[in-house]
Amino acid sequence: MTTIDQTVADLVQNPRPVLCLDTCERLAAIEELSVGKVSAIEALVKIRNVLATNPNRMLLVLTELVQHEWNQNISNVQEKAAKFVRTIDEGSQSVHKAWALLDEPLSSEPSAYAESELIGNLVALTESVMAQANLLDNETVCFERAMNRVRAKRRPAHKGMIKDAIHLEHYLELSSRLQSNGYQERRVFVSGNRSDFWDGSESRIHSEMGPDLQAVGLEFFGDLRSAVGSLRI
Amino acid sequence: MRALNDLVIRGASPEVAAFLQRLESRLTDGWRRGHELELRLRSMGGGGKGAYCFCSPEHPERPAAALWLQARSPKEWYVANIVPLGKQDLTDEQYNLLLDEFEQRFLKPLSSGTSVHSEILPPRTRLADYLSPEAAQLLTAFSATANRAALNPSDQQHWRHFIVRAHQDESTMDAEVLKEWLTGEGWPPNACAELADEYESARQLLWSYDEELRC
Repeated sequence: MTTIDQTVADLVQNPRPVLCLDTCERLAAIEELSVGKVSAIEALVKIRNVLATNPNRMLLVLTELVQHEWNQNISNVQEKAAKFVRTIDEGSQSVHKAWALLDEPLSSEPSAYAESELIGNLVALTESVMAQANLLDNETVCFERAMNRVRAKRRPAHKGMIKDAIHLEHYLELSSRLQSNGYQERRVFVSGNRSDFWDGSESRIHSEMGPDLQAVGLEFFGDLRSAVGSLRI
Repeated sequence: MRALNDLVIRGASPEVAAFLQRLESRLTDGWRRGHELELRLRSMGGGGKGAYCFCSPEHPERPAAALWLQARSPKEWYVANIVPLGKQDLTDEQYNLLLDEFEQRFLKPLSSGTSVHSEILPPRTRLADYLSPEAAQLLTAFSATANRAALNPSDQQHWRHFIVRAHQDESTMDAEVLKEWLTGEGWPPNACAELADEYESARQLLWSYDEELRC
């Protein structure tokens, strides 16, 4: 783990775009499979290709809490994805049985995706990309500001939950210190957490937090794919 | 929104694999296979069934870059992305020029007289990136059957079904993406703008309604 100051020193010496992720994005590649989408997987593959080609193209940043939440949630997310895959296999078997009952059995075999290593490989993809990330150590000042958001019921802690505010305050602080050092590269925060960060159904930052991000030059994206596209990764 | 073309290589499975192996020996003018980058990708757990990296040298019109070819299926490979090797970014134009150069200089001559062929496809908005399969199917069906000059009541109903489904799925499709997709489907510009506006308003309304219920 590194402190915010260590991260700033590294970036000032070797400037590159900074991509800060929420827990949702850490889990996205596996989670979105359950709803039949693969755009986060595509984005992660792109990030992995970029980091393999040129590790100095960008810096991924996670808070220590994102890593902690990954450990807490990964089993449930894997189970949901596994259930999705099993449902597809069951549907495929039903279609084959139906054709067989009509005396026209299909020449192909029903799908057996549940037996494949898809979900394990998605976890491995996420782990391999996140292993390249800079894990931010907890900073007291960021915790205090996060608590202030909870007390004042300010987004993203408007419902009394502190975790999202802790992520946000660490990324705001990182971006602020970079800005103070005259840092010119882009800083991007990605969160698919609609109810706490998004502006209604729009994937822009909620107007209550917009000025906080703007003040320190931190951009917001509602999904990894859009952020990766914007950063030209 | 970026406008990156898509380069695909198609052919029967063993022929494509052999084609990609032969490609390395045909590279000229500073182009080379990026073996060391492929190794690094493998060390990061990538490139399972094969990923080919081809590096182009710096050119007055663009920076040096690495082009990654990956399999989309046993019969189709595609350029997954092009990564600059230095600090400089690639513009969309430079990205597309690199694809053109790679195809014209190396892929086309090598594929001549074989069952393998390459193709550059224009950028397209892919519904699967933004919508669930069900919502994508509703939108596709609406677009295919609607009276584009003036929506009739049945078209309106299909349109509303799509919006409701997109809302239920918490789709990330915004009005701009929808407008771009409709344009690509050949809808008249004014209809694209109207439908995109209507979509945005309806999504906001449904969101506000849900928020009211939650409070």
